[in-house]
Amino acid sequence: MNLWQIIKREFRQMFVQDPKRVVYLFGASAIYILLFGLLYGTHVVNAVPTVVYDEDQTTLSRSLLQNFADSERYKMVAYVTSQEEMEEYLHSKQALVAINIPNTFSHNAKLGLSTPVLVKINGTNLIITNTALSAAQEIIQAFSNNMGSHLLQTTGQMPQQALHKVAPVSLELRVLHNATLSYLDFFVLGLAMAALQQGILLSVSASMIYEYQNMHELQNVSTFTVLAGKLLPYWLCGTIAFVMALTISSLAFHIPFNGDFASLLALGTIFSFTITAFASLLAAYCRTEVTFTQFSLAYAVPGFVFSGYTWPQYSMDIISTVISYTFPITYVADTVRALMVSGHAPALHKNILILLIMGVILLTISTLVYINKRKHPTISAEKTALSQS
Amino acid sequence: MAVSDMGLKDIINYEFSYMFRRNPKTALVLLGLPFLYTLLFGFVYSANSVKNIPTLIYDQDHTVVSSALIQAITDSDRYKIVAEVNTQEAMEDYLYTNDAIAALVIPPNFARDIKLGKSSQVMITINSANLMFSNSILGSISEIVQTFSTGTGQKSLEGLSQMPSQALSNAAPIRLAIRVLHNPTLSYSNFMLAGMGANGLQLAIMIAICFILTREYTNISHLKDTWAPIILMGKLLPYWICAMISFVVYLTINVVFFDSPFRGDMGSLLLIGSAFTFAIINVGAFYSALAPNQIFAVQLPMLYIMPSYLFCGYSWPLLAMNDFSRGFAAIMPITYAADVIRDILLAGYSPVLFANTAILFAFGGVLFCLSCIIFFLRRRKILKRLSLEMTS
Repeated sequence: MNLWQIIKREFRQMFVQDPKRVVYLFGASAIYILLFGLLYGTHVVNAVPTVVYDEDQTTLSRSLLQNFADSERYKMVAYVTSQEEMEEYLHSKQALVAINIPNTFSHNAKLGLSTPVLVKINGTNLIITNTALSAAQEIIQAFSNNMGSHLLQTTGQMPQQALHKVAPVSLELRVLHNATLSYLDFFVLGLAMAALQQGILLSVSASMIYEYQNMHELQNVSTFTVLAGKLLPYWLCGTIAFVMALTISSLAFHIPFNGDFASLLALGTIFSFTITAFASLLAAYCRTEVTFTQFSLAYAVPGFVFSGYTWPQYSMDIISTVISYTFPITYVADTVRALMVSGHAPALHKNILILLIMGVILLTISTLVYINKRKHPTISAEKTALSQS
Repeated sequence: MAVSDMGLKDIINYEFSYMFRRNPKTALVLLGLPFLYTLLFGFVYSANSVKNIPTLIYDQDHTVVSSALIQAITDSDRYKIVAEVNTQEAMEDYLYTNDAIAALVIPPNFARDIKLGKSSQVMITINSANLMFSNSILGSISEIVQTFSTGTGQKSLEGLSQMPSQALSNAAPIRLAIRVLHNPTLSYSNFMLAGMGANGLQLAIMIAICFILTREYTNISHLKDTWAPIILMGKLLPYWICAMISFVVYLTINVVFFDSPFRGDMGSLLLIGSAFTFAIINVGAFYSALAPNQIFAVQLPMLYIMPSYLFCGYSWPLLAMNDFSRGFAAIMPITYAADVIRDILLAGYSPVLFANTAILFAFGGVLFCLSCIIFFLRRRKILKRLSLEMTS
């Protein structure tokens, strides 16, 4: 058989004889994008259930509470009249935030005494806590500045000047690349890359393990032709799946597509190559597809967590950083997001180079292992028979 | 074992010996994977919060006042000043290359404007491609600037011959007193570890248990006369015991090595743990009863289990989900367990402990019955085929 025939044989296996391979290859990342696109479709956490205990019941306290109610971050679930009731709402998790305005609030504020507003936030889920925390800071600060400037106006200052006196330094925030802090833009691309990796791993391994179990079928073909003919189709399809994943995320879920297509394609091609090589090597050691699947299942979650995609490498300890550098997805997930969302990725070329080197090394070892197994077919056949029994 | 009518005890023994002796990989996965996950992720999140964010200063003012503000930011462990630049281009460059994630810009005449009683603005630019950074910055920067502003405002009002304390009250008449309950330091490892361990546990159970019935279909003779529920019970019990050990081990590591709080009681934890492992074991058994072959038996659960951690409301809250996602979350056992485990650890109680325990046991119970029926039917079919082959 020549190279072309092997490629055709491989495509036939992929689509006809063992179609789950093509399903994994194209389906994994597509399903992940659809699922998580729907999951994070709300983009941000809004309407955190909030209980209010207003001991003051004055115009001022109500106007502060109105500010909270107007913010879409909070959803008032109850107005209570005792400390116990408030605690009960928090305890039963009917409310995750409690706003408590003391009874001297309006009185003290008008006298020019500093007066606190107590905001209690359930801290178990940090995504909710972060949302509630920064919104509360913003609301109270604006309200306080406004109040302070009113106070000064009573001493005869002009409104504008009074405001400058109480809030001489204001903060202007410029959030680049993901201005609305959307979780969808932040998370989904990386998950899709993790799924794509699993898809390539599973389909390539299914192909290679079949070959190791049936070595006699291609024994007269040169090693190069076998490996090239078997791996090229997966490399190609992996790259197509990569482009498909990005297209769906952009068209169906409006994730920004700011980067240039060539850079993304280059990254996707090399990623697909490296993972294909990685899978062909792993397959040599995982005698059966079942073992391989078990391994890839256990690898998926750490692979994603260690990639620095969410928890940044700056904040990892030394062991985790080292582990992180050995995973191919580390060089892809973050870079794809940077390219898509912000339009440029400073580490693009470096990462492509690293992936390429990784891929070449993995492919070389994998080839050597294949040659070795060809020389000793009896051993590998026995092992296979053993593991199948 | 050549006996065809195996009792419950025989099956339990048979399964234990499969797990530990004939295929020790099974026990290794079941006991080792949650342990390994907790250890690995414990190290990843050991910093607890995102600190030392590379920050750039572009100070166009160079006065005592601007230095004081920079000092306030330097003093916070959230920020690590990587450079001070003197041009807009240099700043953009640092941000472009990701050498800095945040940039603080202090405008010219910053100090003069404050003294003249004009408002002055500082600008923070954040690269928020990774929300971890923006969350960490947004949570701390307004506090720093606000404190600074209030202090400066107070001095400025003292210039209007107000008494210091009165000046402070005027500058900040309303203060925010925040109390973050249960996780006051906003520790990321407290937030994440318990759930990631639970996810590791369900994965380990799935991997270990997915062949439990599939492998018997090819070699059914030794189980042909035993009542199906007895077979399933005998086969599942050893896994349940090991899964519970695994559950206790991972939480112990969590508490002992990674200093997770443990404010609840052991009884509640064991209750939700047993309900959770019971449900997952029965999900695994159900797949195993259904799967046509071993490859399917291991690959099917993957589709089910992988997205469940992100869908279960543990990190992205149920209250922010749309109806589809909420419906999907509702059919995942981990939805009823992960949050409860974290609540017991961090808050000391969970308001839905008993309700969720009941749901998980009911869920597992229904699947157990279904698995028994499927196993019974498939076994009958296989035995009929075998006897036909024998007679022909």
